[in-house]
Amino acid sequence: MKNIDQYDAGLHGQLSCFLNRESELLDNFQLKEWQATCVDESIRYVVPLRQTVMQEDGDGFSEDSHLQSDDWNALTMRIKRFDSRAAWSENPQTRLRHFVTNVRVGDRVAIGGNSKNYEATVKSNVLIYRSRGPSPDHDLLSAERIDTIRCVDGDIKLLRREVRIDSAVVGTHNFSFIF
Amino acid sequence: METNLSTGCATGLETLAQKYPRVHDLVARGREVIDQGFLPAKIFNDPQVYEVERERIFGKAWIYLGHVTELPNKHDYVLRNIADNPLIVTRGADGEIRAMLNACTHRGVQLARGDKGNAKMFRCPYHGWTFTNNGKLAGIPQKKEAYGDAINEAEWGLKQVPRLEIFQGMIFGNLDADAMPLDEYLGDMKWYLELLTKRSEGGLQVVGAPQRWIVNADWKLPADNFIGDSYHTQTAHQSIVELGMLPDNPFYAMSGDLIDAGNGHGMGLTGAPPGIPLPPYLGLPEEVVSSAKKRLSREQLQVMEKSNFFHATVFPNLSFLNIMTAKDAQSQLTPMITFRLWQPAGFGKIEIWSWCLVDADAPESYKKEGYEAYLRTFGISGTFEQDDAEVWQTSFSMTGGEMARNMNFNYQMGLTTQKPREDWPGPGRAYNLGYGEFPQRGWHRRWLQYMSGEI
Repeated sequence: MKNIDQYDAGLHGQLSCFLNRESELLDNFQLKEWQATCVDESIRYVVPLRQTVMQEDGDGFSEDSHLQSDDWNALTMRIKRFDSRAAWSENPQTRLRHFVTNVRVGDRVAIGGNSKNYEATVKSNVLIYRSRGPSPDHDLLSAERIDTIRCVDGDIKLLRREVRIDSAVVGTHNFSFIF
Repeated sequence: METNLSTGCATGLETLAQKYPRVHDLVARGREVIDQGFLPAKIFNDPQVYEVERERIFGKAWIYLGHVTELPNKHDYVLRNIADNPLIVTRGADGEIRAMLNACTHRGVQLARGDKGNAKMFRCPYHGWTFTNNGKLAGIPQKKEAYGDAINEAEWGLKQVPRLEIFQGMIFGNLDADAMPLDEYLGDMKWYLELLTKRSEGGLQVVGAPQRWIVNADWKLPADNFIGDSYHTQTAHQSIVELGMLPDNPFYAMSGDLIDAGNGHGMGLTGAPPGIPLPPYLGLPEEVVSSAKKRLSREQLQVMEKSNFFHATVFPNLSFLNIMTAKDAQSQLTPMITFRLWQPAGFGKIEIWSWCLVDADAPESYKKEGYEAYLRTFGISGTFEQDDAEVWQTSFSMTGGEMARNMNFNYQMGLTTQKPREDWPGPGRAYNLGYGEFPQRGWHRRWLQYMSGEI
């Protein structure tokens, strides 16, 4: 956590703006555009598996098991799958809404000599609302996202997204969406 | 006729008629029509059915609890369930595995509170009663002042799962003290399970921890799917065909045999589709294949050599896969193994437990590839299972009303067109047709037998 007196309003605003823009793409299932404009080809997108453990045994996040672990090719496959009219998990499409809050910007590390180019860790909290079909019921998923982003010439891309989900038994039938 | 249901269930049916009339009607009708290839739709969607299943299926059948590699050390424990009975499964100081209700015998408070851990003792957070990990009551705070001599600790140990037996690393529990031995229960299915469990010296090994998530559907439908439903692949997974990750030929999933292994167990063994060369022995690494050649019978090897995809259900709610699949559109097919438990979590709710397993003796690179292929295809984010969960949910939500009360589902596939193979080298009845509901009918006959009190 940065000291409060080092708060950089410009950087915080820029990165919040990035997170909000990508959320809009994700909510609208404009996933190809999301991948093309917000994601770096070296992406690691991981959702570690979480268990209930006693305090003395750690935070419950597994180091060797995941709910999802994707690279660029895996994301491409997932997103291309939705081109099919037979990708039943998203046809008809889920009504999805990301609520992104508590954005925290970590240290900014300059790339090369240009202070405008940098990498940074951005943490955010996300609440995802999912509604499908005629049922008025919905699924709510809460998670912390730990993102590593890279900004080059004003272009921000995700290098890594770790989704630390707030449940051990997940209350939705699949992950046919991006956190 | 594939099988005849026995007639010795009059008492069991009569009890149902008195206590659960709707279930009686469904079970009696099911017994009448299953051999003609029909099954009442409402067995998948009636709260009374679930009431009776808790007692007659989950109270009587052998239920998978986990794998010995999840408890490698003395004092390790994991939390598991048999329907709505929360259990601690422990490995004691003596190396023995036991299962007991995770509830203090004083007021029922939860004892072990982590999904896994290592503990010699479990101390109740309410009044401090303390139990050893084999279930003995070892300590009562201020015992003398509180109870004097009135309490006999030996009588207040944890409630044990009355039967626990292990088949080649697979731990099963049974709530019925009089149940048949696991060996007899698994019967001919053991021969097929051995194709995975016995093929290498080190056996199977669980990777990490199980995924767990909720699907709003009936627990029987996935069991019905994994036991023999190669027919759904072309439609439910059409999007994967369109990605070029499954053959674009609706007959490809027919290149194999379906097994009704008896006692409700069953399996599909599919080989390479015509014109698509695939490696023998499920594409397993050389280390595992050469070991299998020493450890399995000639007949088992004969069956395994031609296989690339295994899918199976062990009655009632354990399914497994050993299939070749690709982690993305750029990658080669890799073999992967998953065990999955369709744990009912209330009426119309399944808590799916999904484990990835690997052959312990396989090279690390193969284990890693297998785990990635598993994650991308099955489990909560898997591209196959996403669509399965979707269709299972709507099968449940569409059949809740009275219009479905007199409806039968169709289970006729292969019933009149196929005879069991006479040249099959393995046990059970084998049908040389990838599209047929032989294993499903076998599973449902067994379910009907349990539900009508025949077992």
